[in-house]
Amino acid sequence: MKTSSFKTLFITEFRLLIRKTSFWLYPTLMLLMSVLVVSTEASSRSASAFDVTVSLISNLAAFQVLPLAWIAVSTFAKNSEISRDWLWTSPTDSHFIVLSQLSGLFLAVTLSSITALLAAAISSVAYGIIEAQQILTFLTIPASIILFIGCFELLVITSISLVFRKSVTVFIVIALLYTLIISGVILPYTTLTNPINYTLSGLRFDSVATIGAERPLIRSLLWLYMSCGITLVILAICLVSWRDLRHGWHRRHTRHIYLPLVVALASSTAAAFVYRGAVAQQTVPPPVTDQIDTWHVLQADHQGLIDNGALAVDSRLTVRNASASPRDSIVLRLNPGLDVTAVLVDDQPAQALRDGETVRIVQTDWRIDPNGQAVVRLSYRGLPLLLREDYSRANSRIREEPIMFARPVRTYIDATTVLLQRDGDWRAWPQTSAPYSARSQQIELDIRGYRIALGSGSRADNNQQPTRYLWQNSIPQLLLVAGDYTLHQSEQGDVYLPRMGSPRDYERALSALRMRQRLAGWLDEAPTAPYQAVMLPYAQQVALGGVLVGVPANARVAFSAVQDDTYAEAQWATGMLGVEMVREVLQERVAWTVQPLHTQGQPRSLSIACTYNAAGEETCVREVYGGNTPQAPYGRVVEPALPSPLLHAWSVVLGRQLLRDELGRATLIEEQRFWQALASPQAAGTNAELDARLMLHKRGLLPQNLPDQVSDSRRIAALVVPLEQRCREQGIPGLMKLLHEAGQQHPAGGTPFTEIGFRQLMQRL
Amino acid sequence: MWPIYQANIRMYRRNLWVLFATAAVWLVPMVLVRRSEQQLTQLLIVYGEVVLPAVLASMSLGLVLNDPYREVLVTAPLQIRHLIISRFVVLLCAGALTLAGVIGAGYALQQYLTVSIDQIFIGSIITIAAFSCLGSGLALGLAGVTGGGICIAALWTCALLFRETVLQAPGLLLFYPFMTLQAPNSPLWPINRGILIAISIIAVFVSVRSTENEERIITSEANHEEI
Repeated sequence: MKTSSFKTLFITEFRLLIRKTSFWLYPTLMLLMSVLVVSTEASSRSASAFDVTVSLISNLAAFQVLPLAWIAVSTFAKNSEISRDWLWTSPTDSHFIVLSQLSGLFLAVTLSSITALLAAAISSVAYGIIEAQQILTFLTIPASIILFIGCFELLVITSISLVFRKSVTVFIVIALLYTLIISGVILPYTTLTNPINYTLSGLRFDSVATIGAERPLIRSLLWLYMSCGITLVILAICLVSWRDLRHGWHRRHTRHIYLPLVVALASSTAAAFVYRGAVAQQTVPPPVTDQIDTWHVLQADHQGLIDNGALAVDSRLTVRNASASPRDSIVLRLNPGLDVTAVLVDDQPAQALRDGETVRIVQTDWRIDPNGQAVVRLSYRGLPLLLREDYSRANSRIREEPIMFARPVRTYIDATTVLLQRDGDWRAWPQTSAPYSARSQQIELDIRGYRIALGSGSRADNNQQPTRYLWQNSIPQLLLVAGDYTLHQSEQGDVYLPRMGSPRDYERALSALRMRQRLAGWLDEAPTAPYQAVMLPYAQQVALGGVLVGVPANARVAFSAVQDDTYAEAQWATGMLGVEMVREVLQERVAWTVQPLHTQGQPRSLSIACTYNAAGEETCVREVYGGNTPQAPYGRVVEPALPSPLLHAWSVVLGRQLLRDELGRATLIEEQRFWQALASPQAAGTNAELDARLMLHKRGLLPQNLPDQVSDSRRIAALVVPLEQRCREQGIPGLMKLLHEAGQQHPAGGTPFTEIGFRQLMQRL
Repeated sequence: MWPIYQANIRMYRRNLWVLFATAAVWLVPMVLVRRSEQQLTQLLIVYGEVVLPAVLASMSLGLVLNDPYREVLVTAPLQIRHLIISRFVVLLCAGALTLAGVIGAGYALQQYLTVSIDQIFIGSIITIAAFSCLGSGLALGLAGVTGGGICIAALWTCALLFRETVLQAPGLLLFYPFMTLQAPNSPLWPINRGILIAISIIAVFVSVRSTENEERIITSEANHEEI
């Protein structure tokens, strides 16, 4: 009887709701909002399907709260009216009445959300973000998340409605809470420890890895939302039941509700623990700073297997103590997700103690003097963690962005996607400011269980499974990528694209191939095979390896340090590609002075706000913020934002020359003027210098997030100007001659090529 | 006319307590950030221009439709437009008093504010009036409190969520209700406030015109709660 009453009430509530004209405003507004979100994303043209997904989730979740409040409030507030007395004459208990109403509401809200998402999917097809056959795949992620969040919001609103009962009061309470959260008065930082804000921004899906590194967080977060929401509603129902004695509802019925309440409380507690565990995994552990640039690696051998998302590596390192003091332990950088299963030092058993993002290898009564050597053998396995600090950003609601401690993403493995680069923490290596290179080294990696795997090493498996890649002797660049790619063949070469990437991925990949080929021509390189472009998951920089050209999968998110979306994005993204590509190549040819690793962090974002006056003149203001970052509360050992001003200057000049046909002479002349203004002592501190700096930032020619923007940009300009002049006078052959000479005198791994050495070389040649 | 205002004040007394309660809640974060003039100013503007409009808009939705005696209203000799305007005046005065109290408290905590008190007060009052009049206009136009509530909630939420985007579109900025919050020094601020006043007047006109169709008001879906 209770079941049939529940069903009747549920269907009745649903029918009453959909018969109201006012209810239909809700799905209409949701539909309009979703179309607006898609069209806004589409206007940037670099948005991938997953950018649209994140935007849909955050905007719809935030937008639907208050309209939903009105619908829910009008349902539950009416329960105390005369017109609803028929509810209380039913044999059903009050909590079943409320549950049945809630179920009817939930069904109506779910259908509205699905309609809105369908509209978003159709709009995405119309804008060319996805193809028609991808609609179902596109809808899966946002639908599952939005429905959970919508349910949570409905449960919270229901709880408040049941407690306060007056429509206006309920709306005011919800509006007040909403304003306090949105404006940043409470929960100012959108971080993992503030799960309310987590859904509003900060989600990051990758077009290659899809949900990828967010998966453990999302699961536990949604479980937490549902558990807390259900607990709140049950508590509110208990309160309602207790207050509604006048309707003939007897207290003894409360026993039926205690069991669900206990289960809900237990579930919420368990969800909170699981979520906290997931957050703890994503919080950067305290840094280890006592052994930075302490060890030189003389010989390195690594053998690894990547099998369906798990990594197992055996390493053998011969290290030399390059510091001035004896050491009784060896600190090696190793991803926190990898566990050491065996370790030997000089063939003696040792202990490997996990210490933040490193392992500390200790042995009883062991020490190594300055210049002394040791042979370390380690075996480690697990699933490397990708910390959110590296691929996302902590946002603030109060315009104060925290300092970041992000490292370049060079390691990512899950069941469908792999990204490994030479300098990643997937293999044990001392903490060093220099590239991970040794006089003698060998890396052998087997990979199995991935749809498409591409590696820059030589194949050593005779076309059998597992696929084996081998890198030997000097390893200039190492790139191993695997994922669910689609192959596109072009005149420039093969291009591997993600299934639901940005519409601009293909253009950027072709640009990258053209630039790589042009650069190879200048440097007289003869690749063993045609170049191939592949979109990289999570990476924010270009990565090169053999004939592989790795392009960051999404320009806008990849370069998320810049927040102002009014840039001419294609030009900026391609410009950055050129600069980075040259830098990757030159790094392996010449030894550059490298700034050391540090723990100060750098400003998370460069925020440039441009406004227009009545005459249409643009005024831009650059602001940089700082403070502690919630995802790296103890700081971290990070690479400098500007490792080498001289290398950057070379990268800029050659990078722009790579694109000279696309950019045109006028653009290059204009940029030369900017560099000259920046380098000129007469222009120091003037508006001309400020404008020049802003414009060069806009074009991606100055590194992002420099701690001392003014002096660092002047230093770079002082190096760019003579290089550009040399290029104007002698063309590319003149620059190549300089480069060749620099490579002869300062080969990679040798004495660094300093700015003084550069000026001397310029005078000599 | 004074008895009408007295009656309206008596009717709204419970809602006025809710209004004062929001002010009391808002004083807590104000006290916590009193040393920072920028944050305190921001809080004052958020309260006046964001919170109070939402609160008063929700109250004005039921200006006529939440009145359990609206059948009497439409048959009374007093013209209904006088009633609507008198209720608006009572609500706006209550909002202005609450706002003045909060701003006064803010000034007592921190004498140096980054935006002038006049601008905060006037800007907030105009936004309150705009949302209140729009709320009533939408509710009466759609002949339903819930429908009006959904629309005004959607407008308010969009204005809050897309406040950064609006800054980049000068055309949208002219209609933006939270301009004192986002761009208090913009030369377009006086024009923006003027446009909001015009919108308020149009919304009041719509409210009054909507009450001419008495059948819609009397038989409309509404809460039978005390106003």
